[in-house]
Amino acid sequence: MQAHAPYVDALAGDAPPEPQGTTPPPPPPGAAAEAPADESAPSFAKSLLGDGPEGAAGALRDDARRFATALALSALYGLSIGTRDGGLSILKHAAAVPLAPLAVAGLGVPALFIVLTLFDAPIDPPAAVKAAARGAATTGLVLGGLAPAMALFVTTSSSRVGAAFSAGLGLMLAGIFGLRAFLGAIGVPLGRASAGVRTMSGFALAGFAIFATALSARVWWSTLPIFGGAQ
Amino acid sequence: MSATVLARLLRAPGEIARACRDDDPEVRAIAATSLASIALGAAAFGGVLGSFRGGMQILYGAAKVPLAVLATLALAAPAFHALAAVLGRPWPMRSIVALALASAGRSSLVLLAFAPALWLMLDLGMGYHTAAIVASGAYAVAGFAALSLLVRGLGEGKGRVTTAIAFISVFFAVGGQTAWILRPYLVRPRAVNVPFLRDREGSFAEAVLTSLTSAAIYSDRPYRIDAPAESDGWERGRSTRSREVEEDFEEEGGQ
Repeated sequence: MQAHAPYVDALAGDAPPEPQGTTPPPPPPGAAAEAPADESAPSFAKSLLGDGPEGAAGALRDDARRFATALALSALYGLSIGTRDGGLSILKHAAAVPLAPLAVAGLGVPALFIVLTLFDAPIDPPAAVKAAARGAATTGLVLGGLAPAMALFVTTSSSRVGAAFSAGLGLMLAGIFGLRAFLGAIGVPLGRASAGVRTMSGFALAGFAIFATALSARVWWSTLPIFGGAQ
Repeated sequence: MSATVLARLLRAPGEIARACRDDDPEVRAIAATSLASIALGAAAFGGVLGSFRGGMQILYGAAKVPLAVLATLALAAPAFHALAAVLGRPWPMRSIVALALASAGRSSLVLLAFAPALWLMLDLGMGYHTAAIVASGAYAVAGFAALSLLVRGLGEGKGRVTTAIAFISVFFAVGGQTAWILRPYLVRPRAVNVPFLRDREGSFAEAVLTSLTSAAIYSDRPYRIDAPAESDGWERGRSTRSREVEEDFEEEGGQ
């Protein structure tokens, strides 16, 4: 991640977590008191957010698995916000929440790849797929983590506006984290480009961020019954 | 419940936090002691709050405060796990749960320490509003005790402050809503019926917003009881009451 271009940091805030798939160097003696937890400890989050195996076939399979897990976790969030109305609404919400990350990955990322290629940015399709999987996985993980708490909020708020506000806040938070992870991941290869390409790529990424935000909002607003969509 | 772990929970939060974070073999003992601390400390504090009204409210309070703490942990732990992971700490769920339990256990021990003092103040005739403020103060101190353990548990490294802020935000939102749906805790002595739970009304966030709006509207107006008024003999007799008791009296329609 040291190769990040400045615009990526500017767009994404703090750099997202380093890939966890590689073995970290041993901590210096005496540093155990302040060192983070054992990086080699197995963790669902680490396997979801970490780097996959090297090699095109393995990497693609790993990205596909990561993407599917992200969609399942997003559906879990949908289940939780659907509990407010119960019945069929649970299924409607569960089907609608994963649509936004799916739409961004299916519509936005290919378009971004084309634009970046026009500027001769050093990025290949596997890198774009990997970044998309990383972004979707981050969004899914946050949505899945917030799902139990969100079930509490939407079922115990007496006003529908309050419940919708809570649900929207969770979606927004997950979207921001997902976008941040995507920009951080796609910034790695872009960091090796020349200054001119990096500048143009920065504009493209800014446009992508706006597009992804607007598209997600549009999809969720029109399909989630809690916001009045797909009634 | 281990006395050694209990002492370390209070005296050496950094060691406890590190043990939780690194999935140390003693995590099981820490979790068990923390659970016992929550059950004991939060129940004692809730029971003391309930003693303001007395009767069944003591039992209700003793049951509801630990329930609120444990429900909050259960609902917030997955969010803690996810947020820690995306902010650079992809730790096992077990470590996150242990850290959250230890923090809550430490705060419950602080509540346990406050319980006798609060009971004495209630016994000496402290009013409803003062009791609510003192209880809030106790919760704040207990919250800081939990926070110190939690922040130590996050260790050094990038994103520590952001992760701590994210944890606090989630805990405050989930804890506030859980506590809101389990209220009342502090009930006036004159209340005839004491429900275990109130009907669903608004949400914690809406209640906070309403209170803030109300405070902003009325902050520039003279306080009603401070205003000089004509008084007859009955009024003069009432004037020996404290301003707070007077306020309670008027709020309850002079009953």
